[in-house]
Amino acid sequence: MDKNDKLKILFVEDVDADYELAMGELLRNEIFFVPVRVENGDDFKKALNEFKPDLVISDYSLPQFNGMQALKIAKDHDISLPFIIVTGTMNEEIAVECMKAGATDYVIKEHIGRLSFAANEALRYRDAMLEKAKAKNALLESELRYRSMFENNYAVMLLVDQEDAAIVDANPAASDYYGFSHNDIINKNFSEICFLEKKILLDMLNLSKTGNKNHFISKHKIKNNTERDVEVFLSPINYMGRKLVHCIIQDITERNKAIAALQTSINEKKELIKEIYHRTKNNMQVIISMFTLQSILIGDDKLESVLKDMENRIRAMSLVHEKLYQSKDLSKLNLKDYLEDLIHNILSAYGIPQDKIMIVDQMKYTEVLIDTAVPCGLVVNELISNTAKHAFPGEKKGELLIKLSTDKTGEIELVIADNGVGAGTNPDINGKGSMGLQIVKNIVEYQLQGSVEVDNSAGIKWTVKFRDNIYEERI
Amino acid sequence: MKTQAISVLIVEDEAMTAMFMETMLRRKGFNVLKCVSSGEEAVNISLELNPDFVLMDIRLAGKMDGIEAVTKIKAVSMAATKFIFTTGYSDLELKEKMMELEPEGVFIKPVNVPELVNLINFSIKRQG
Repeated sequence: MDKNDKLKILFVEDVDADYELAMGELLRNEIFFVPVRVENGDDFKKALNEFKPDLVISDYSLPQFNGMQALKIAKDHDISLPFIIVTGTMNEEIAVECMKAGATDYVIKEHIGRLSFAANEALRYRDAMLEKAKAKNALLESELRYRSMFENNYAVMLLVDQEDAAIVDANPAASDYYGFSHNDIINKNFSEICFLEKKILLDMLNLSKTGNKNHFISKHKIKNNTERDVEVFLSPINYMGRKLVHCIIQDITERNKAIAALQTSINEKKELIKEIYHRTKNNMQVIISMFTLQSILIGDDKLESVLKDMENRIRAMSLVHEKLYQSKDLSKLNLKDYLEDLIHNILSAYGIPQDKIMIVDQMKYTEVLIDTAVPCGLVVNELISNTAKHAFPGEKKGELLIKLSTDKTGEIELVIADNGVGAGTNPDINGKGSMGLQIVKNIVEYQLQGSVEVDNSAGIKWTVKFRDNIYEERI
Repeated sequence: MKTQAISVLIVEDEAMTAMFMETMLRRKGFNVLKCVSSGEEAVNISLELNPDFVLMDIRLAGKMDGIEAVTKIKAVSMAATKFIFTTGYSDLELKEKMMELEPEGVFIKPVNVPELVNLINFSIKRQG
């Protein structure tokens, strides 16, 4: 009891002297209190309700009332209210009767000196009782709270025995989901609703056997015999010495359908991109076809040669689409792979026999975006075409060196060198004479924002430097 | 080289491409029997004229694609017709399907005509 609150004692006593004697005895032992005194049943009841005493000290025999009656009323009012009977006579039968009826203690008037001790003991006993009741209430409240979380939860929950997979409890959401009454479902085994072999199911419930894996995806049979995809979350709990597993079952059928639909959509888009690349190549074939037919029709050698160059430029671009089409992510390709095919195609287009020019391939794997690959391909097309047409006239044979590497800063270096008749000549990359060299300079400096150098000390050696960071990745 | 004797059927739905290949092959001395644009026509003409080579595109007019057309011709024809696929598609799955039909070659568009001619001549030479 709070020390600021004074102890409230209700006295049931008709004799002034006895009342004062009792009060005196308590005060003498430094028990400070607020007293109220009643002499009959009605006043007693009223005082219980209004005065709300902490302790009742009642005389056993009064003219219109007695201690047993008071005790009964008090216990009906509040079973924990301490009640001390004071009797004038040494009557053990009465004492036993009172104690049986629930009195906390009794004091004989001749030994009123015991009253303070009895009062203290009674109050202590009452406090202990209150504490116990409080703890019991807290436990009850906690049980109600968790029971309510289980019962009212929309999530499907089961309590399953770890040893044999028997369903011990199920919440209403579970009854509704599986289509069984509560009584029916708690008489079932988890294996009856889960499409898993019982042995696997038992291993799953025994988390230590699965390396504490606490969620599983499986199929469950629910109401109307429908099969659903579910994800089961498991938490082991010990309950009254029994090993149980609390299972939360989440239906993921719709989620799985959405994922499948998304995957289909992604696949369709990939197909669409492939189709576009395919059509691009088909259109390039049509353009080349028209060029070639036109040049055959006119029958002019010079025009045929010009159109041949044009055809090769288109092929260089077309090959990018073929490589992209084969690459994994449809936006990047391996420049080495592309240039190898491109060089082979150009030499073949100019009818260069395989033993005429020996290719020394020193290219390293270099992944670039389509935005870099196309201009790079056009540059290589011009440089290799030059070699094919001019480096080794007549029966001359020689070497063609191709190097491709990336330095630490991400700069890509491409070297194309031949040991042909170009040594000593000076290819004019700034002049207006050659369309091919103008294309090279323009693409490297303007589009790739790189540099191009030529060295004619031994054949012709081109060094092109650029970066693959001019564009953002688009798809 | 007896290129004169080599007969070719071109199966190609794109008119300009068909005309281009026909012109190029004629210039190299091949006997281009016909150009057709659908798989159905390809089957009928192949069985009627028994060409030495069929240049077969994959996507065609009509309901039958190049793979199906070659499968049909191979199943019925008594002649030793050889097949060369020409296609804009270059994915692995399709390549596998084409290779199952054991063609003489597969050309990805735009077709490199000198290589195509080389292949036909090589294939004839090998046969003897």
